[in-house]
Amino acid sequence: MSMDYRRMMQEQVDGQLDAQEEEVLHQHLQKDEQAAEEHAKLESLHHQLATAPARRAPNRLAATIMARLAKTIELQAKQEPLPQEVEMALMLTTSIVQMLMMPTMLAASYMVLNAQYSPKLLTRVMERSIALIVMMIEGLVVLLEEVEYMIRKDPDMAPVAMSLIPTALMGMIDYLQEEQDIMQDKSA
Amino acid sequence: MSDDDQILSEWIVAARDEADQDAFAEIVYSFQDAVYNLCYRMLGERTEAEDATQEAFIRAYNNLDRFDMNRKFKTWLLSIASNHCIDRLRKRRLKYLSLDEPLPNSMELALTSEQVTPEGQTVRNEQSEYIQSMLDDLAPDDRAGIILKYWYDYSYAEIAEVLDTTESAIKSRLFRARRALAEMLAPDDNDDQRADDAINRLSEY
Repeated sequence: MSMDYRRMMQEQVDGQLDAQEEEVLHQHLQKDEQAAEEHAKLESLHHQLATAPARRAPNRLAATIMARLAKTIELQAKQEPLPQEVEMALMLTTSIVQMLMMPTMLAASYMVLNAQYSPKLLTRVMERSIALIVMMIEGLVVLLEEVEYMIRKDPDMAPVAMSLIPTALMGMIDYLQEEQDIMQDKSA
Repeated sequence: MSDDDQILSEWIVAARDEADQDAFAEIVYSFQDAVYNLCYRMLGERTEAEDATQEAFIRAYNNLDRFDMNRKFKTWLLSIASNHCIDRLRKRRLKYLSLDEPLPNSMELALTSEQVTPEGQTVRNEQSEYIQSMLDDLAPDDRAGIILKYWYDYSYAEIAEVLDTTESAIKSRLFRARRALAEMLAPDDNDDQRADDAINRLSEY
């Protein structure tokens, strides 16, 4: 059987033949028994495929997909590098904080010098200064983590995050101020 | 644009631009049956079909920004799912070649009466499994063409879009696959008889 008739049989099943071609195929099938048999098989297959039912998704599938998606998103957020501008903003923030820390550190050293006349006071000031440094470093780490988290969630939060830094610094200066007051009380 | 399309594109935009997971959940609910059926017909096995469906949706979510809003979303989604299934089938073949594991199909056939089945359903399931066992013998690309044609009623052009090829390639792929399947109908008379019975009983409903 020629390739042409085979192609026509296939197209006929898909409803792609015009009336004239249908007639040509019909004529051929009447004459050629083997072709007629092949055609019947093809029609039977077409019918079986066309009536085969579709499988429905299991009930819990959508929930599983959403759970897996949430996990994937979380993982990706951890691995994904920050956008370059956010990275740069973070670096700038860190430098500003370091610069602002300088006067605080200077004030701490000044206090140490002033406390030299009393060993007891000196010990206390040293302890407090070390506590202050530790607090500043730890505070800085927490602050940076918070800022990173906020910016990741919403880049528009960057200015708000930046404004947190002076607030945190004010807190540290207050702490020093208290210390200064204590020292003054003592010397008085 | 119909109301449904309008709602769908709102979901897509919300999921894409605002990472709105609720919006994406709506998309999952709307298309899970279509994607699952495709994966099931491609892979012939429930557990793997579920896994492939999950993977397809996650890939779709991650690539939402590459989706062209002028295209049909379902076509795009099914294209992700079929490509994933074709990959899986290729890997599976490599694995069987190297490990000589038994094919899961025979097991699946024995286990698929999982749901409560009224009589009509049983006939349908039986016929459906018979069809499935034939599909499993086709090459992955040919299988995808047949599935999209018969379960999704797609035209040659639409199938070509899903499988990223030309209409004439799809035509010859479909014709070749159907001829192979039609030949499979013949050799075993029992199977043939069973399929005919199933059709006859079906037509009574």
